[in-house]
This record gives sequence, structure tokens and C-alpha cells, in this order.
Amino acid sequence: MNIKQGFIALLTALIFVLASGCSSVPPESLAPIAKQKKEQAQEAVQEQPKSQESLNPSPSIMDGMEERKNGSDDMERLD
Amino acid sequence: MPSTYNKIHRLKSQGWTWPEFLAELEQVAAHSIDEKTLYSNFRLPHRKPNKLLEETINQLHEKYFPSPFPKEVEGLITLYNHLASAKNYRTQEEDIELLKRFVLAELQHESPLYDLRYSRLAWLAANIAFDRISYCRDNGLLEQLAENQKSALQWFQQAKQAITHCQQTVEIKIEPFVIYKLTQNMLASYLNALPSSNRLDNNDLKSFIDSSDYISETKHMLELEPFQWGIARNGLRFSSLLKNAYDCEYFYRALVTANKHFLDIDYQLPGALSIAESDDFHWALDIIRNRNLPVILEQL
Repeated sequence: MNIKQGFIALLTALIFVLASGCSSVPPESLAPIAKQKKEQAQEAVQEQPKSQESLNPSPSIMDGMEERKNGSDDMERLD
Repeated sequence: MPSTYNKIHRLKSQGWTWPEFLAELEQVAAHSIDEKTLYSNFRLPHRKPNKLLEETINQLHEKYFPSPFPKEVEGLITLYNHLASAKNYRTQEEDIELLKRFVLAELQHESPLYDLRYSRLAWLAANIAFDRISYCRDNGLLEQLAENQKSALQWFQQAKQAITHCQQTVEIKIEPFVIYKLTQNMLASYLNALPSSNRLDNNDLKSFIDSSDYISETKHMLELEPFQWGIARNGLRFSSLLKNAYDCEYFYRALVTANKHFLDIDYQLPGALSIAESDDFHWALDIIRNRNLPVILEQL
């Protein structure tokens, strides 16, 4: 076996190892980046109702003065 | 939320002990509320109450301090508040405009009959105009800014006149805080129209504060309800903007009396600026620091 044949054999073995490694990953599991994205999306979906809840004032909550953090220290109206 | 904090304090100031308070809550609550939750919401203005506590306190507050206004108009105010604060609401502006048209038509229909329904509808019309002021200011819409400010002031004033009239004729008790809220809303209509860089020594603010007797009314409100940190904070804000050293000291003391957390000028409530961060308090901060007020007050 000359060097060229040895190199081809090594390359074939490497491809085989990679291919078998990929096929052993179950179809439902995702690559790390995709998995991370999926988890972030799930977190965003889970957080959404919380943030909406805190944004919606409940009836007659304007009892005390509140300021918005928008650069200017504005006064909120009182109901 | 500050409002739940205020409501808990207002209810507690009737003289209830904690066991009595819990027993009252038990009567209206769907599930029991533990003393620790109630007490921590009493102590900490920055504490966000859970949904159950907030709803239960609202119910109990309504039982002991009922709104003098008709339920159906209160419902409209709630509806508008939900509408105005909704996110990703595609037809929000159009829907607010529809509601505004309805409210203005109702006011036209009712005028000149001055009653609590009229006053609350006028309050709602003012709220709708008021909520546009900051947006117009930030986006340089000067014509609309002036229009909305004028409209807010006009309707808050109408609401105030109607309520003052009702105080003399209607048997329902109207708390002094109701009128005070309208005075503060009018002042807020002047303040919010100005960018923070133009607020110091502003003549419009000055003349409204003088003509409305705002400072002495604020002091009176704090005598009645010393837990109202928001009122004390605004008193401090306007004393600062008008460069009144005596009142700065007075309202800082009132703020710390309302809650010790304000000894720390960096104390921050969710969604709000701390005193140290807000431009409106810069002048007052020099007084507070120069006279070492946090140290003096902490020792009291």
C-alpha cells in the first residue's frame, strides 16, 4: 500500500465514521445551534403571557403616581 | 405595584390589626392569602403583588372605599386603559378614536347636566388626550401636542367642576383625593408637554402651581395619607423645579416618612426612574446632599 492508497483508506474511514455518527443521531434531536434557537423560541413563548400581564393595567390601578422610564421622568395620570 | 401598596395602606389605616386584615381578606378571597405576602406588599413599594392578592385587595378596597362614579363609566375607563396599554394591537389608534368619538358624543348629549356620570366621562375624554401628549412631544408634533394638551386640560377642568358641584348636591361621599387627582392630572398635562431640559423654572408650571394651590393641597393630602409616596415624590419634584429649598426638604422628609427605602436616592421602582436619575430632581438633590438629609432622617 503506497502513501496515496493509505491516504484514501484513511479518508474513507473518516467519512465512514462521520456518516455513522450522523446516522446515530435520532431524527428528532437537533444540532446544538438549532436546539438553542428552539429553546429560545420556547422561552419567548413562555415569557410572552407574563410580560403582557404586567403591561395591562388592572381596573383602577392608577391610584398612585407612576413614572415611565423613557428618558423623561413623565407623570402618569391618576384615575 | 404602587397602587396595591397604597390600597393596602389605606385599608390598614382604618385601624385593623393584621389578623383582622387577614379575616377581611378571607371573606372576599377565592383562596387564602398568607400574612407574609400581605405584609411584604405593605412594606415594599417596589414589590409586585401576585394576581390573587391584587384582585383581592381591589375587591376589599372597593368594599370600604367605593368609587363614587357609576359602574358603567368605570367600566369604560377600564376598557380604555386596557386598550391604551395593549401591545401589538393592530387597530389600536382607530379603536381609541372610535371610543373618543363615543365619549365626546355622550358629553355633548349630557351637557350641561352636571353629574357624576358626566364628570367621569369628561375624565375619560381628558385621559385620551393626555395619553397622546408625551408621544407628540417626543415626535415633534407641536400642533397636535398643543391641541391634546388643551383638550386634556379642558376636560380635566370640566370633570373637576362637575365633581365639585356634585359634592354639594349628591349624597354620595366624595373623598378629597378625587379632586386632588384631577389637579395633579392638570399639572401633569403641563409637565409632560415639556422635554425634561425645559422644565426648570418654567412659567406655565409656575403659574399653574400658584393658581391651583398645588403645594399646600399636596401637603394636606400627605397629612391625610402619609403613605402616599407618589404624592410626596411629586411634591419634591415641583419644589425642585421651582427651586424652593424649604419645600424640597419638607417633601423629602414626607417621602422618607412614606417609605424608608427613599432614604436611598438611588432607590428605584420597576419602570420608574430613581430620584438620582431624574433631571427633575437635580436641584433638590443638591439640597438633600448638602444638608445630609438621608443621614439626619435615618437617625430619627
